[in-house]
Amino acid sequence: MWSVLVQRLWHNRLALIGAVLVLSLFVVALLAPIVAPYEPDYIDRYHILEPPSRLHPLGTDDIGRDVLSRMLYGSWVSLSVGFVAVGISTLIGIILGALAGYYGGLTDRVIMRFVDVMLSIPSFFLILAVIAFVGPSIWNIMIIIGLTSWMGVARLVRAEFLSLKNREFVLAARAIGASDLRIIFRHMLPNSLAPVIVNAVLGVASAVLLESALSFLGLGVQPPRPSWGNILKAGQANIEIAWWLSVFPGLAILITVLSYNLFGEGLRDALDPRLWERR
Amino acid sequence: MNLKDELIRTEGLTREFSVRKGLFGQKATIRAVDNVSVSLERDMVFSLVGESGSGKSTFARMVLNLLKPTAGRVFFKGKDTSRFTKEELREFRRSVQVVFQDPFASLNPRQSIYSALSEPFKVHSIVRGKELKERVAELLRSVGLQPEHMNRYPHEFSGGQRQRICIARALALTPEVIVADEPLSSLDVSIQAQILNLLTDLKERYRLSYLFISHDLNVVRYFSDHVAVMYAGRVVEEGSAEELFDSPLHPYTELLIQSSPGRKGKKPLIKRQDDQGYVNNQGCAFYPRCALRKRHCSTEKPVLKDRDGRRVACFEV
Repeated sequence: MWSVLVQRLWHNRLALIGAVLVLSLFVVALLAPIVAPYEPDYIDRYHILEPPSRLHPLGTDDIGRDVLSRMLYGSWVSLSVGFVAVGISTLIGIILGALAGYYGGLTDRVIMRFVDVMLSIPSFFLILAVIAFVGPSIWNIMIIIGLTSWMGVARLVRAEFLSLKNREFVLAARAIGASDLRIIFRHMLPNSLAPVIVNAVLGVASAVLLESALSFLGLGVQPPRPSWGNILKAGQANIEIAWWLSVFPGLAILITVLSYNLFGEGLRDALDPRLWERR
Repeated sequence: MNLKDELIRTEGLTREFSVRKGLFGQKATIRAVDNVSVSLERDMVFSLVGESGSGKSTFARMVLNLLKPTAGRVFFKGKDTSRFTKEELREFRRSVQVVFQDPFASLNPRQSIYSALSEPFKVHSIVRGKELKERVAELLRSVGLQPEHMNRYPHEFSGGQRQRICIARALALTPEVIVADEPLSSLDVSIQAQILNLLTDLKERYRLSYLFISHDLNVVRYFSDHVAVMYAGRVVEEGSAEELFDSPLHPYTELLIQSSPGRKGKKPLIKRQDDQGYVNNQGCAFYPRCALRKRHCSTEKPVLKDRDGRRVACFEV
């Protein structure tokens, strides 16, 4: 089954580019301490707001720190926020969606109305409000993004469960006497994960974007710790004299989000049996 | 009835589904199974026939305790299945197994054959460890498959082979009753014969009783001892297979037999067009298609009555 998936991804050139970029971003983030030319908070007093040069390939910021090094370290922050937040939201979504879809009735109604309520609050402002209370820190951001973005997953899992509930192999498992937990984890969940995985990959992209936006507003990762968002923020203050401070982190965010989206959409096509015949 | 070895009996089993017509439309209830009382004895093949939508599968699901009846009860060896204790339910699950129509939907696509066939043993903690593999191999052999296939996945098998796997899964717990919900309908004709032979063999070998659901009258006639004909959720005629096929009483039974493929002679009776005076849910459900109907058939519901050792629900016979 997995070999088929790899084969289909292989034929989708855009998805392949996305996958390669996603992977290389990972490698870069992991290798940051090795490949970065400077420590992220090393201050080069003699080169403040310097344009890209041999010494500082992507220039320096307003207090003389190397932009390339800060971006390399920042990529680790962005990716880990993306992954932890998506991990939290996927876990919550799966649990609530599975409960709603499997048990139906009142359980379903309560959970789905809660989803509706959560969806009716503009999540960005909710996040801003919560962070104003609990204070900005990288862990708070991960958790809050996770807690406000699980609704889509819950809906997906619920829909899958509703359609699986009356499939013959699930009924047969019940006829054998299998417990609810066994049916949920052995039979239903493995067969409903495909759209969840796609959703998670796309979710990483939006979490990265959200973290950057928060950091840009000063409510995300706090300086001196580097993140793409707070480098951008520093760039915004000097945008007329130092373009490199805005352009490079902006490009990094753009490429990351784009590659996750390309990969995620390729994955969706590869996992969708309705699209298999067309090629 | 209790003199014989009764396994399953239903009493006035009824199931309604509510459907909403349109987004804001009124809720309507559809009675998929209406007041069905039948009984299955040991060593018997009891067949349920009827066209699609007549409530056969819904009935099977209620018998299997997979769907709650709206009204009525199911008894297993004299005990009400809706009042089972946990232990009794376990016992019931071991004794009553199921084979479904579509072998492609009946097996978890992400579960290997070994995993699917060892599941019943694990759930009931009958066999553990090394012995599991042996038991699974034994099961595969008993349905005519090779034990080497146990590490494969369902998509590597043909429809007939998958149906054999489903049968093997049903046999794992050495049941007394197998509910077979159209087990042949989605198979090729040549494969149908093989599976039917397998079911017959297994009946002898393991002393099984079947609740067999089908719309293929030729198969039913060959395979079963006792037949109940369902129409629109109700049993319209019930009796021994031989009698029922040789001299059908109810006009619907007659229509079914005449329209079954490979049959020559009399043309099937055609639906009459004028349905005037017929109100749904009031009269006999078969009224619009009946050749023998009289005026009172549209306003009164016929009930099952004993007649010559059979039961039939019709005013005109």
